[in-house]
Amino acid sequence: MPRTRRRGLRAGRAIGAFALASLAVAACSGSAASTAPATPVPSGVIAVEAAKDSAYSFTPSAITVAAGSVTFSVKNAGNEEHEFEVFKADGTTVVDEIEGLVPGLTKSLIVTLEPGTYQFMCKLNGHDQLGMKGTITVN
Amino acid sequence: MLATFFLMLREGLEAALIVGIIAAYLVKIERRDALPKVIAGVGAAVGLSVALGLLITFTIGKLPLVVQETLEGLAAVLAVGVLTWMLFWMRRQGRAIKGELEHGVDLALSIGSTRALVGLAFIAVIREGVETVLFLIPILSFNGTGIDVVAGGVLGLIISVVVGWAIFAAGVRVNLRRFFTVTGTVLIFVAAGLVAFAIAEFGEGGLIANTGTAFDLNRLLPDQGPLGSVLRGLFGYRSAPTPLELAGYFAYLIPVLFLFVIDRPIIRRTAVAS
Ligand SMILES: [Cu+2]
Repeated sequence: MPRTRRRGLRAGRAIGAFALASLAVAACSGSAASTAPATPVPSGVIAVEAAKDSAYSFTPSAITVAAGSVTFSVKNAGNEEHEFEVFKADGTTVVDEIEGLVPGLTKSLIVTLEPGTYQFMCKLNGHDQLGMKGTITVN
Repeated sequence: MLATFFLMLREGLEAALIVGIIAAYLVKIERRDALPKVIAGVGAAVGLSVALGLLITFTIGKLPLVVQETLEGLAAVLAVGVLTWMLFWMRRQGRAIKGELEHGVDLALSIGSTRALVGLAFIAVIREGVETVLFLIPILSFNGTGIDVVAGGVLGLIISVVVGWAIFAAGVRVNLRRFFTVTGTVLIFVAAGLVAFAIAEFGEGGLIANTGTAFDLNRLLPDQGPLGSVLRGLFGYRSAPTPLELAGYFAYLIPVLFLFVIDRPIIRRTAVAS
């Protein structure tokens, strides 16, 4: 029994240390061009809120950007899991995606976009059919 | 809290199921001595998952989509191969053991077979492990998440381990014949789910064309909901599969299930041979 407890403590400490280390990394990687999810949002990124007021939507749902490397910072403001998938105009070819976006979490995604139109959706449990989608116009 | 709980449960259940069955199997065939190797295999997979997860997160942030989907698809294909081999091998061994034990003879598990079982435990864990760590790191770093979100994720992982342990405990208790029939059937569904999963991954990676919707149960039984998560973790259930995913699922399920049921003559031969 004491053995189990000690192991539990050690695991707890490890998780704690891990969380601290992650925070430290998040705090000092602000200037570095890191794509780590814990990176604070630098200026020039497109902030998107998923499920604002727990609605099945993205805010904003129409985005216009310049061609090239585009950073999205997506925050899940709702209370269930969501995804952020960027598709080509056909709506089926995935360009890139954010998965495991649990409530409260903010994750960033860097994609290279060419002039034209793209779509973004959350296909989790068919949320796209409920309105969790939007368009990206690239100039 | 609940969202993270189901996310981690989904990631952990399948690995827990496979490892639980392997461990119970080794006990049933009187090869408890091979258990430490399986545990070492699981430990190595967990360690490697954490190392890879940390490395990916703090260097390139995330793997390029094509690389990630291809790797996940290949890992699933590899798991299907080893699982299928194990199914029929276990069943043959099961029959042989039953006959031999009645005559009081011990059955030797060849070194190659033990390695394969350890390898399967390793694949089952690392397949889910890297993705789980990649999901957990931002959650654990409290990046906008509260303690309840973290707790939900950790609880989901703990429940997965408990389920694996329960499968092991139940597997050890039931009689040999029922053990092989039940675990064999369950593993066939798991493998069929992996086939569909591999198709989905290759499709997302753009390696194959995989579009359309065969049926849509998103409103009825969403695969990220409470029951759907469990079914997805265990049997690769998807609430809105593409026609190709559905076809792949049954193209594996039906013939393998059929062969598994009619496998008796081969078993007799092996039983006699050993
Ligand atoms: Cu969603």
